[in-house]
Amino acid sequence: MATPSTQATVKLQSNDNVVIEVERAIAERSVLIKNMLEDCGEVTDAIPISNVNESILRKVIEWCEHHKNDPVAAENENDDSRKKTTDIDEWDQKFMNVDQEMLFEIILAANFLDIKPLLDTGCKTVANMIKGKSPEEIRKLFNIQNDFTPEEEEQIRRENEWAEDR
Amino acid sequence: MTFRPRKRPLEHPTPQAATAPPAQASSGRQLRPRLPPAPKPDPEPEPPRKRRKPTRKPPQIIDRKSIPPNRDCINTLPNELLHAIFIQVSSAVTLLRLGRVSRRFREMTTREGARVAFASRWFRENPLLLTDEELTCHPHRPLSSPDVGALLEWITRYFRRHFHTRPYICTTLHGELKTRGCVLPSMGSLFPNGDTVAKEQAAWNAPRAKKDDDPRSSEVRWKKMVQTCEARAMVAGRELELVPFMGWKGKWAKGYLSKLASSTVNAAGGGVGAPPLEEVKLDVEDVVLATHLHRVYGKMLKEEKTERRRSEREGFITEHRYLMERKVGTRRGWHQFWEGVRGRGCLCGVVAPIPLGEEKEEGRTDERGLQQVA
Repeated sequence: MATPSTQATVKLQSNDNVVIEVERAIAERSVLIKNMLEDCGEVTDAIPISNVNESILRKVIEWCEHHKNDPVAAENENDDSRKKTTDIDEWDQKFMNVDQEMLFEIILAANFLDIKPLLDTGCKTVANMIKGKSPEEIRKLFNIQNDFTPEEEEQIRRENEWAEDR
Repeated sequence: MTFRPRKRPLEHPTPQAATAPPAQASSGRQLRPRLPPAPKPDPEPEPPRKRRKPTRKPPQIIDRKSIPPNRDCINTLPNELLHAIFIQVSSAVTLLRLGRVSRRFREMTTREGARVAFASRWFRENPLLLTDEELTCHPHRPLSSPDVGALLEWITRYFRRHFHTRPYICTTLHGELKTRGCVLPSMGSLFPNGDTVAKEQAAWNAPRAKKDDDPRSSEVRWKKMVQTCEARAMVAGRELELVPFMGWKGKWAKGYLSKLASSTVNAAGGGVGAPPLEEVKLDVEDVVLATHLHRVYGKMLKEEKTERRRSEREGFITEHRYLMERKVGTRRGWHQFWEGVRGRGCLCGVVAPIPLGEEKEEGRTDERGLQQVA
């Protein structure tokens, strides 16, 4: 096993070959990078982040910088307390106020880099965008093509009608 | 020789001429000399205006993510991420609506894993719809269980767990209950809109009524049925209460029951071998039920407050007198009933056997007798 490294910064290389130097503590918000650093010890070369381009990587680093002091949630946290976690922190809301293309890129990057809180925030943001919208509005919002036949759509509508009854 | 009017030399028009209308100026009529305008009185010097501070409007934040993109970005996400998004939606209705967006969404939202994960998260995270302030309705009569959310979840599990023992589920709580409302716990929103809980309660108490029946005859039917059930239960050495699904007339209630009937979640059903109540998996339809129950609870609470105010006006001031007059509210009865049921655990004799002194007929539940009656 490699000895724990004391290096202060690490270099991350985006898929468009841009190298960004960040504090190790910030980079370690990503479980993927953290495990990599733990396994390899001292890393002098830039770590290739093959699925993420420069702009998204910078955005993810911005999020990690802001949340670097957040307590790391325990894995498989099974908390019975009834707390509303669908609320998003104000800073995160502003952070996520980006165009959809970037939003989904951030979600993909968070998933790839294994940054669960960022992934959760991204998913909640999208879930909040959907809130209260009709299927047609959802299609319009995300530019999704309706691939149902009218008959199929009507059948599904009737199937779910009961739940909308008040 | 013809007369030619002499050409007038060009002059600079006087201010008056310039202001005169052209028709008059061109006509031969003599124009009345215009009086010079009366001099305006000197305006009073205006007080120096207070300079208003320029009000700064808060910068309008454009919600960039709600601008529809040029291409379908959401479908670039893999299934696992779509799943992660879908289980975060705020309500069961939204999840069901997602299933109408596209084939892929339909496929994702109808997966058992997604539905169960959504319901699990919803019940874990959904806050109470009622605030603490609303819940403390009277100092003498605090709620024995302020965590209504947990109780509603328990009831939802109970219904799912016992669905296959329709139409009746037995309990042995007779005697502990003080109101008729407890016999059939009020589920107000199961009835058509516009009815109050009290009316709905009456409807519940006429479960055997046919459409053309006289309400009184249905009342008689109900009483007779209860008596029959009680007689049978007495034979079995038990007293009982009923928690039927009958009377669930609303469209959503019918939908809920039909979904429950066709559900493959907890495939073992409600009989022997079914999972314990705490391990019963919940589904989207259970979220719909819980949402309705939340609303009914609010309704009961409102009705109780109204009743309390009326009672106080009529002189039923003390708690003792209030109870003596049997004016126990529907909500109170509802709590008594369900907390009594919950206190005894599962009542089907599979998970938590009913603690009977005699233990004569252990295992043979009253359900069988009741089903015969039904």
